[in-house]
Amino acid sequence: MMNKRSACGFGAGSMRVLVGASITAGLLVVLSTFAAAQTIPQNTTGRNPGTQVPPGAADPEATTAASQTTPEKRIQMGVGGVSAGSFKFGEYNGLENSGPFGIGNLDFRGGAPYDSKDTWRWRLQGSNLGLANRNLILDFGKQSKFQIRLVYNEILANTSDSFHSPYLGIGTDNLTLPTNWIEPTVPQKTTTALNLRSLDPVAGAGSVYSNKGVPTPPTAAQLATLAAIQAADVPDFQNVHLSLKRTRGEAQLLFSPSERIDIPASYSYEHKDGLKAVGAVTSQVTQNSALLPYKVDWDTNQASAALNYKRKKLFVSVAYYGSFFHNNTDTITWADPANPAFTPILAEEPSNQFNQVTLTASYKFSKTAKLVVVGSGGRGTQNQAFVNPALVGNGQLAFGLPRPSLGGVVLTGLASAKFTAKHKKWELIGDFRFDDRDNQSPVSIYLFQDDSEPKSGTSPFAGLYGLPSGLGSNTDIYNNRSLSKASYKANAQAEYAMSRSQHFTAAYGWERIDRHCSYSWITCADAPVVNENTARAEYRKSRGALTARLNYAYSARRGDYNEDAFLAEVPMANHVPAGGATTSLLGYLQETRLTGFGPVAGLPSAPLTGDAAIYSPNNNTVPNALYGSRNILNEIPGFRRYFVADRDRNHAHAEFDWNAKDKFSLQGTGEFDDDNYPSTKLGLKRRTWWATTLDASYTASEDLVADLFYTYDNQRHFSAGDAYGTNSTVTFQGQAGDTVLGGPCFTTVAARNVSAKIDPCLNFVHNDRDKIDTVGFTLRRKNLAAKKLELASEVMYTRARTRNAVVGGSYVNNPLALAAPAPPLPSGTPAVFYISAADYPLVRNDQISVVPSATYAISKSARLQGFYWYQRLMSSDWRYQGLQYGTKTNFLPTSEQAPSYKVNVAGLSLTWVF
Amino acid sequence: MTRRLLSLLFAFGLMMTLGSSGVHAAVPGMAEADRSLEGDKKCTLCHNEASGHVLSIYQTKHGVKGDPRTPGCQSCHGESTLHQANPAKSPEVVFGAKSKHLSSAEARSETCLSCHESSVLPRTHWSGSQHESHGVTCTDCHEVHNPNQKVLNKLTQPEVCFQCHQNERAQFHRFSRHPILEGKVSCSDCHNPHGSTGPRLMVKNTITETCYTCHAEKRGPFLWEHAPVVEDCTNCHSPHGSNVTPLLKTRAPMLCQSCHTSDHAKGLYSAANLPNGNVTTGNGTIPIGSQSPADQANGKTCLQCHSLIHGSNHPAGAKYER
Repeated sequence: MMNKRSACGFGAGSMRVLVGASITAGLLVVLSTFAAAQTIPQNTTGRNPGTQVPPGAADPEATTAASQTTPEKRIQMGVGGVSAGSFKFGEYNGLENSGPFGIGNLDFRGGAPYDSKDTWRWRLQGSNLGLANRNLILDFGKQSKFQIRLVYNEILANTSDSFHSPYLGIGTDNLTLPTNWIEPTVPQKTTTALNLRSLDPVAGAGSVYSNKGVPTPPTAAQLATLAAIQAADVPDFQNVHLSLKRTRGEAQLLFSPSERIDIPASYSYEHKDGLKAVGAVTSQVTQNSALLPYKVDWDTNQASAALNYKRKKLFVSVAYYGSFFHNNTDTITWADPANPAFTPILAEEPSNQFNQVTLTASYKFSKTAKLVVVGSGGRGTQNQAFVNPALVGNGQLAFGLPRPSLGGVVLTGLASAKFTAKHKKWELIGDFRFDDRDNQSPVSIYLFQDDSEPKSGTSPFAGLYGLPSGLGSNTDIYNNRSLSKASYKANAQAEYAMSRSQHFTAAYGWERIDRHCSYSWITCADAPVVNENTARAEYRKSRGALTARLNYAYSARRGDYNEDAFLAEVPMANHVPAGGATTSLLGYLQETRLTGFGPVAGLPSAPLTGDAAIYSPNNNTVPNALYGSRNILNEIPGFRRYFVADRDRNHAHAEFDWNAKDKFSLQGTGEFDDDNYPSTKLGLKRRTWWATTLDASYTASEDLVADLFYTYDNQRHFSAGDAYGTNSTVTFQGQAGDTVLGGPCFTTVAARNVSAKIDPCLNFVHNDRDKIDTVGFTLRRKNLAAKKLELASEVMYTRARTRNAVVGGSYVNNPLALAAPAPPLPSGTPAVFYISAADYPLVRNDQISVVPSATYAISKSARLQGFYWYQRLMSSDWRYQGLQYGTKTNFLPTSEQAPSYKVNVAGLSLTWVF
Repeated sequence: MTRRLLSLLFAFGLMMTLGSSGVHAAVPGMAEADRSLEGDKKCTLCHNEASGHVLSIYQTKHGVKGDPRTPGCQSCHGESTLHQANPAKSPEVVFGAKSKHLSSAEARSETCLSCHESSVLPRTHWSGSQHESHGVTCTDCHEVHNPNQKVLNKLTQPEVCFQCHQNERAQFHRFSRHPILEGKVSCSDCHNPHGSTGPRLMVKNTITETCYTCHAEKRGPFLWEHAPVVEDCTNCHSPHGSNVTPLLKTRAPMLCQSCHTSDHAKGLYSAANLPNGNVTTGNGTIPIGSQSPADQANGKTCLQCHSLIHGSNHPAGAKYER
């Protein structure tokens, strides 16, 4: 037993803490000169391959009463080395650089002896003290009186070390291009339009078709221009590391003024900074864009406090939670590679605030019956000033703003009640829940040009309905939507104990979700009311050599789909446009029961007249200008958004744990999910997922343990689309309208033209499938070399494949047939090709890690630990192909590469326990 | 101001009054047992330092004898008079998972809940929670005698959770994942295993509120909201891991085209324009054989332009491009 010590507690303890803290501070200074790592595997004693445990967990048995009852202090110091730098390998563990690093971790515990009247205890834990992801936790307090925890934590997230950018001012909110920047063009095509293929000597020097359809190489002068562009621009691209880091400090308090009252409180401050890649478009028409190194400079404060009152049967809690996000940069400005003098502005994530109060009460009617009720109300606000219209180029906000900031308010609410009761062999649960997100943000009309595209034409709403007279036909007239949602949920569950170890459960659940937009002029929700019913059954056996659980659930979700919801953002759809129509777009749609997609089939012999002209010419979808949108917003009939669409869901889960013998056990898990969307013709139609795991464990003796698992995971997304075109009577340029058409659906261009909205060749399906195998193995051997040596090894392998399969195709003009005057084509030569879609290349990620380690007990208080860690990632992904020089015409290359790596790490450390 | 101050004083006085009764007395719900060291000796005479790590409980919060709430051996294991008389008989409550005399899940949980249901660190939502309904008990995760409980350490907590959540264990070894294995995020940062008001044992009332505890910048409200984002982050993301970064359910543009079929979202994007794929002729102006992938079919795909997909606060950002 430990010696008694002064009960003055706090003072004496404080002294110890101070001394301990002084020693610790000194050690931290020493350690911080190294790169320390706890997230490297130290000694894998875990039974779950792939998880890691902190150092020194594998101790020699503490065999004395004193050693078992006395809190110990331990510190680990050592050195290691990384063979090769890799951002991906060091994504979170801080080992992204090659070279030596230090290992340093500590865990000090102390306080009053367990048999003292004093309840003072403290603990200091530290890890990764020299790396960019260090962590420190200090706990102290007098148990039953108060407890305080102070946490300092750093979280690293490396994204890319192969990203390149020509911009100056990286790390600020104003990105400019070097003064020597020349707009990249392919002069043999055009000398004015941005074409970033010119940055590549091969792609930039490609031939183009002349107006006679003849492939023509660039002239010497054009080659000289290309060379000048490359000489100026390519050296401007510099490597930029994209990485984010969170630095977080947190204080937690649990104050217990009496046995019946607890007052927990916490406060945390987090700063996040670094760079990430963000897409930024400068042209609506050509889709010119760049991936920007986007500065992150965010602060988040979170606070919570509660007052808990406890009685034998009653528990009442009033709690507060607040979260306050502040973005230190409001906007980011960048120079357009096509015209560096043009500087568009992107609005960053706005600062926001959230306050919430929660009242929880529970009452035990008896030992086996309990009611828990919860009421919670939250208020989220956001009032960041909008970007100044005067600073936005190209007249993007030429008509000003309806208000200087959103004044956004979202009210959240929760009311729930859950009753549980046990009676003999029955356990009953009934619960009800109401959940509400009520967006009360004001709704206004905003007039803007997409992507800073200059205004052109005249809007049919110009000067009408209080709108400015100068509106262009490409001016967007939008109002924001305040998305709101309320859900009502009720569940009833009954469990019957068939025996002491076997239980059967049946449950039924109902949920209704109402969606709406505050202050909206029209129903904005795709599915305003949705109901879902769920039935579930479960069997479990919880004792004996074989335990198991089987669970199956079926749910059906149904609701009415609203195909006019897309109009909620375009208020002019409710007004009659100038030009002769007598009704608004909405009025016409309601009158004809059509959607914004227009008539599906049939081409009128003549242009439509009167109100029907909104679909003219040629059965087109609704012309954008008629509802004040630069983009086509209509919904194609049969399309359903999967998160609100009718759905049949099957879910099954099975697991077992079979302790075959004392030495051998087998565990298995199988899960299956099937989401089928029966009313969906277009969009996500079905998603299935299933996974199975088998775990085997063999304990030959207390000294030798082996664990092995295998998981197979299979996920499939199946969706359908329609690349419908516009019906047309226009004859093919330079060719007769009945010119031969490639593909299986139509034989002539003219035949295709009159059925472009129903052309089956334009239907397509996506079949995306993930197949992932994961294998893990650990082996541990203890008590070697006179019980001084322990060996452990872990192997992990993940093989992941994502296949994005596509069935369908698209029409592409024969370039020779485009020439004017048309060159004579041999008879039967298609003027339009049908190009079959091709599956994307497989996304592959293969990762293997092998981690053998050894721990040698030098003495009762000192252990030597060594480890070796080999990890390799082989990654390939088609998303990087378009980021290389010469592949894209209109967005800046970044030269990013799939992050394959091969890294060896080794380390040796000494753990001292005292 | 004075009224507020008086209210506060009244509330404080009420709190103290309510709380003063039975200060630090034995916890009402705890099984009556001798919780002193003398009482423990009935057990520790046999279950001593040679019996594994039984005595290590005195390093834990359950071993601080100066705290009047601290249990004794018999508080949890029962009075076990039969066992005392005959060691071959099992104690009244047996927690050892491999013991043939393992007590029922209800009995094991009730032992802990006698204090932790409403008195000490109350687990108000445990009753009827997913774990409770599935027969999980406190000691399936907590090692009460261990001063270094795996489940209470961010680095080792996943090992405990993965014992049952084995498919999730594999998901955390994927290309895109949260830093669970490095101990920077723990399962309990998002899930409250003791029950909660949220779905899937979320620590907050909803999935989105839970995500905002780390990703507050996505909370808004934004001027231009994106409906699936506002509703549920898991509409697009797989938080436990994915082969498609960042934690996506599937790759854009397919993910986007699950919901969008108008304007250029109606287009068919495939490998037809990728190197070595079937080729199109790029509007007839670039020779066959040196094609560009479609904007929507490479790099950040749709997000190359619609980069503010979580919401925009720019007056011209209705399409999440500003």
